[in-house]
Amino acid sequence: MTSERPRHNFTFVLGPEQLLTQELIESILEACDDALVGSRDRLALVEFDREGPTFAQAVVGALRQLESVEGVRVVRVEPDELVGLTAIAARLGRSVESVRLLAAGKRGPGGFPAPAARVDAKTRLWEWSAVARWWHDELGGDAARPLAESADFLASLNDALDLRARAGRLSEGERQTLAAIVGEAAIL
Amino acid sequence: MADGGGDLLLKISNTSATVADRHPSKEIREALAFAERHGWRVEKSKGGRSKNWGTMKCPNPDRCWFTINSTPREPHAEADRLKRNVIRCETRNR
Repeated sequence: MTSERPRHNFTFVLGPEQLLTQELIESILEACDDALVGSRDRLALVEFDREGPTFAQAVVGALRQLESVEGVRVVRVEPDELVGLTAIAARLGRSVESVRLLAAGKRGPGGFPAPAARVDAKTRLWEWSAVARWWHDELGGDAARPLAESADFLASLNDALDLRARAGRLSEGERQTLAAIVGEAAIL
Repeated sequence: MADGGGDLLLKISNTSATVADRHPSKEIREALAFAERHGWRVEKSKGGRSKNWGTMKCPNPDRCWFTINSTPREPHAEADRLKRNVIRCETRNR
């Protein structure tokens, strides 16, 4: 089954699009030959589809690899809002076939959200927020746990990146106070 | 190289071939054709860059653009990413 190695999609924001010089684009593509580099809303973005046992492992692996490029500093991670069946399956912790049946109404309570777009005959895309809402409302409870865990991880990772970006503007004392708080939380 | 140039001339004079037809991967050529049908502009980068094949730009001025890898690890995955971003841009702007 293809569902054994789930593929996770996410986008790193690097900062203003002016950061993306020809040299930097070339270096990023050299380091990560599965990265899509570009700009939306004048923000420099690098998008990945990565295989990995968990969303967190896939994101952290790509983050380290990307930041090994000189001059690259990730400021934020965004999960993809427009997702295909494979990505939905990975996020819900289900097989692709099971999600295909849910979407077709051949399994589960029915009422799966309509696709937001159709790329071609084989590829349909859904808005993740609509799917997640349906999943929670119709099939809530324990089944939703993998999803909630990756949402918590993502929010915490973004907080950590934010903290890292601000750390340079804090005094030594302020930094120590924060390090103690974060350190306690990490140990707990 | 001389052969390639001849082919290219033939293509340009025969059909409505665009710069997108010059990408080495069939799957990426299809994704670029998809982007062009949706109004995107595909430009080949100048100079001897090895990885950065070119850029595709959305029809909304200054909104989004993506670079096209000349040798992505998985051409079909890169093609999917390119197509997905065309759709993403359209759904955001409708």
